[in-house]
Amino acid sequence: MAFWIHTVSPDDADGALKRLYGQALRRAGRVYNIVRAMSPNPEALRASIALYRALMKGPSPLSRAQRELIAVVVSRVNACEY
Amino acid sequence: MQAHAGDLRAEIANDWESLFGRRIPRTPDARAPHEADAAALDARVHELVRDWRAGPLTEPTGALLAYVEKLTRSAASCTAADVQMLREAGWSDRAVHDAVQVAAYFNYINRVADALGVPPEPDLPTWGAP
Repeated sequence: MAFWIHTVSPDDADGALKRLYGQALRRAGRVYNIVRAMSPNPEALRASIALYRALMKGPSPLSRAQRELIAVVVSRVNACEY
Repeated sequence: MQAHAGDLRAEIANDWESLFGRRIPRTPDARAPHEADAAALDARVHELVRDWRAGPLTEPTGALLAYVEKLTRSAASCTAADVQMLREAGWSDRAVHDAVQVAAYFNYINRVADALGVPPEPDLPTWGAP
């Protein structure tokens, strides 16, 4: 199975994308495919990760499990398997 | 969904009471007071992934999930009365805001994943199976 557009592999990344992949590796131990999908536009990738982290890892009256459950319910309704 | 079901599994033991409103169940042979039965936690995540309404979630958490489900199916049908119901369920405006932002983020990222053919992570467990 492959992406439908050209994406940049971790081995081929340079500049800002290489730094973003390095941060992803340190945080998660891998470059998830959803991260690689956004490699054509590193600035959009950077902003998307920043929003994700603010929402999912930042302070909130919602517990992390409540936030993850929202993610699961939304993805289920959207029938998004990823 | 699968990637975040795994994240839910990682968080559920720490945040059990925020979802279910009571102490986490333990097996009799648990070695520590906080030690949960991993198989029971797995089963609960499978159940939530299949149908969150089937699980014994707290009423406030269920109200919040019903609202994010509504905004995902039909955002234009959301009303001030819906938000008032969340307040009456005990949620602060900050909590409502955060839930809406999380739901909106996943509506966005689901579309990125589906429209660019993002492959699944083959080595991650599959959640929601019977």
